[in-house]
Amino acid sequence: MSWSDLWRRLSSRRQLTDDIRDELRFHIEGRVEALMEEGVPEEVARARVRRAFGDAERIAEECRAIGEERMRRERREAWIDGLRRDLGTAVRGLRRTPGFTAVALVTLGLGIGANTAMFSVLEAVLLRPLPYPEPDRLVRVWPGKNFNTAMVEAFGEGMPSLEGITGIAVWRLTIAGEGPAEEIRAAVVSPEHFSVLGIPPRVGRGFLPEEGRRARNDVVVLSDGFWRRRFGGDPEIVGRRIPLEGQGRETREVVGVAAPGFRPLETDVDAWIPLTLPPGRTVATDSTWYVGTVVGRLAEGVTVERASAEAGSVARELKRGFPAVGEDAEIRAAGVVPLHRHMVGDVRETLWVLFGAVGLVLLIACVNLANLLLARGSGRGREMAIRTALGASRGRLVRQRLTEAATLGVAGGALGVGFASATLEVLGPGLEAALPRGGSVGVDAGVLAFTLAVSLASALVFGLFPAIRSSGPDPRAGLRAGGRGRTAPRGAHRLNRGLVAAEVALATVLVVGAGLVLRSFWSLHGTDPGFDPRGVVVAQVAPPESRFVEGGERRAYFDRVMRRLEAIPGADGVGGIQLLPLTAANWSFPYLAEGHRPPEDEPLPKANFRVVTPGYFRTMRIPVLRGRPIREGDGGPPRNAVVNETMARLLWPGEEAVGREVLLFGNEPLRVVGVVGDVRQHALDSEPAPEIYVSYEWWTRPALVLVVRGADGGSVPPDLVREAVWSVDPEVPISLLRPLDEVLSESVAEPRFFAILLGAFGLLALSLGAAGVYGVMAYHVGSRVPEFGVKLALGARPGDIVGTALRSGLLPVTVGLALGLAGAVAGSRLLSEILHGVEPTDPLTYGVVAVTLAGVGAVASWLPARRAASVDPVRVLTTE
Amino acid sequence: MGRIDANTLYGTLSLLILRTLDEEALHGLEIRRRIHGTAGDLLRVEEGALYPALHRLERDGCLESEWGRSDRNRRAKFYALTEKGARRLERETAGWLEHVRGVGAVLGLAVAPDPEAEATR
Repeated sequence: MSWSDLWRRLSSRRQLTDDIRDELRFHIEGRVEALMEEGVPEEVARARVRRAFGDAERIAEECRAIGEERMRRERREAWIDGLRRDLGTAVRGLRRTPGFTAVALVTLGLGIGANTAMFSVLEAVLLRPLPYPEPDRLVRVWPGKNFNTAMVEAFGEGMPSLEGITGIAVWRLTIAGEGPAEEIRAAVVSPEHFSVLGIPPRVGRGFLPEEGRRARNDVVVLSDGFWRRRFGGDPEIVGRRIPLEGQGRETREVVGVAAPGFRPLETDVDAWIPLTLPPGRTVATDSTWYVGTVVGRLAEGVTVERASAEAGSVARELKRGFPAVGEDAEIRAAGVVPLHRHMVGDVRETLWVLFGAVGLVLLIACVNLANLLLARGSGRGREMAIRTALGASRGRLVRQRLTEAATLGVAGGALGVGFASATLEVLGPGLEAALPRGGSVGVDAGVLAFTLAVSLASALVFGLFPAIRSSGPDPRAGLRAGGRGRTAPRGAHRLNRGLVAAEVALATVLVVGAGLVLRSFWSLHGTDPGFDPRGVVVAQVAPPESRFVEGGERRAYFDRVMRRLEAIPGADGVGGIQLLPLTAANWSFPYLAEGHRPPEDEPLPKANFRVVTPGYFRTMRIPVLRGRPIREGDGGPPRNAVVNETMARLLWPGEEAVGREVLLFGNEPLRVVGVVGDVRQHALDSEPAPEIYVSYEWWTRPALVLVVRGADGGSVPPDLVREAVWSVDPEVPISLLRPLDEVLSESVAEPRFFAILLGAFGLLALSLGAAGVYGVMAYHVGSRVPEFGVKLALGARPGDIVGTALRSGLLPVTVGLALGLAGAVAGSRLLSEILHGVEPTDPLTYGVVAVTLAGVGAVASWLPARRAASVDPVRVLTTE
Repeated sequence: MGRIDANTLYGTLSLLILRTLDEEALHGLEIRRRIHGTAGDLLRVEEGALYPALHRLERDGCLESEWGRSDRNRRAKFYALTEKGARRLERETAGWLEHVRGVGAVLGLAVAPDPEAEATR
């Protein structure tokens, strides 16, 4: 409140008191007069009136209080009214300059929208708690270690700080009868699984403790989706026996249906079956080494540290009894990790980097807008001067400019929400593939609140400068002739240029970051996987255990299938392997190599173990470096094997590997007959590990993934593959029927996704930066037209004018670029975790970015500068 | 329909003021004279209570005021009914009548129905 307002308020209060006094006095005097006219003497009359009237002072006080209330109400209404009028003026003003408004809205919409979308992702992946009750009490026990069932139970017993523990493995089961044969995914879990995670089945029950034993383990809990899909949501499902094959059983009794949406961590499964300890087995003799995840729930009030210490001592205890439990380094690493942190740990950095990037984009957008508004505001100096002269207070003018900015902000925010929703729709499947918990990203109430806050904050940032500036100047300066409405003090120009430099710096940082990530992805993408995926179709064929009991039968089945596949017209090579590269699953077994002594206290070294058919290496175009590939008869006796280059180099460096012997498990002799090229088994960016390949004639147990190559660069249609497989036996389910190219591409889904996102942000930053530079330059040139006119009239050459204009524009761009590059060097260290195959200070990237930004800045400066030269001096000098 | 608590002097007084101002704008003294003149000794209006009532009605937007000249050419504050005030007059009149009929019914008295209301029913 200014001094004049305060004065006004005080004086109106005094006015109110005076008025009331006058009013009451009028009444009293009037009554007295009337009585006197009837003949009552004055003193009597006054006394009578005073009595009838009541306590005048008190009444006056009451009236005064009411009057003040009234004035407060009126002031409030006037304020709201003023606001409404400001809003109207703001909207009208924005509509009058549609070009500016459109640019501003789009800029804001993109910046805010990107932020909103990014925040949605952040919220769903990092910030939102896991969908289990009291999720911060859930921990992952000894992450990364493979357990067997006995070990899970040992940890359960040896860790009193956990009130429950569950192992989780994923297995495939086959369901037949009442419908086509189908392979389903099942979670194999400890009996207390549902109580550890805290969400009991909606129908029926979970598992009883005795169902973890072989005698009683023929039970199953179905998922809600599977129950509805396969059994039509049958309300009598509990108690039914269904023909579900796998893990040693042919039928199972349904004991419950899980709550809708319930999943064991992030895996989608159709059913749960109990993890069973074979009778009489201990940790040392239990062969169920496939429990890859163990989750526990901390007891009330127990800390992660205490649980972690307990886990460590259980691990050490186990190793004393059974050294092969793990290597020393692994034992030392035994502990517990909070589940949420474990699940999202990998992507945490990347997500925060992305969030920072969007923040930068928004900041650039705000700087742009501030510049635009400043330029526009300076052009309205005259309008402001008139308003001031007509009595608008400084506060009023500031409020008006702020309203305008806020209107832009909120409108931009609304646009941004729309843009964010659309983007998230489009990116949906990509998000799901690339991020943990990626499937649950969406725009919700929290995100909308965030958007609103960001919109208003942005409005403040870019609106504050012009708002304060516009209300300052002396009205007479603006009204004076020759102002052309475009007078602006030198300070405004400097501010503009400073903002441009800031903008360019921010954009540079972002574009450098994007460039680095893009290069990293490109390098990843170009990594040789070790095989040629083009034109190859894969099909995972898994005959149920009961189908072919004898190993020989199974092998005969696969032989027939492969012959049928070879017979497909257009097929040029068929092979099979039990685990496809780049699909994250792995088998690794200990071995003893010829010429090496077994280690003293350590378990035997392990190699990746693969089972292949004779045609595999040729079909996948994996080079045979020495000796020969697996062929007929390698099942033995004698049993032959092929090793990869890494293993050969590791075990027999510089010597001939062919002819050597390897003892698998320490006691199964295999003769090396060939060395093949390395294949990236796990992921494109992980180094190849030692691998040993044996023939499927010997190891007939597992399902095979069949690979079929098309002739002459084409590929075999998947339908024909399916037909061929089912022509041998229609009741064997096929899972995973797709081109190998796709499998490869999916394995880099995450880095590709990030690269694309960051690239998009970089592009956005670049465009915004260019637009900003152009806008400011255009304004500057425009405001110096009189000066140029004079100079031209005095004989300057057009080229010189252009040069002058260009120089003033390029200076801030250059400064910004330099600052940005320096900032990028400092900041890119943050990226070093994520980058692959490229240094954070990669000179090529920086060089390209610098040149690009300088070029863009130059063009954006030059275009308006060019117009400076075409100024007609006569016109300039004669117009006002 | 608002129910007027006849015990609330304020409520009844406001109603009387609004009715009195229905025809023309008056100052406080004249308002008092009219009410006193019509109701005679049936109603005792504490004179001082008139002014807070007037100011409250003005605060609520039912009346608007203006300083003018009385018939004796003295400076006086005149009050006039606003739209909002007219609506409130209608509402509260109807409510008052209902209240009276209700009480009358309990007491077993016949209260003459409002001929206008009868016509429009």
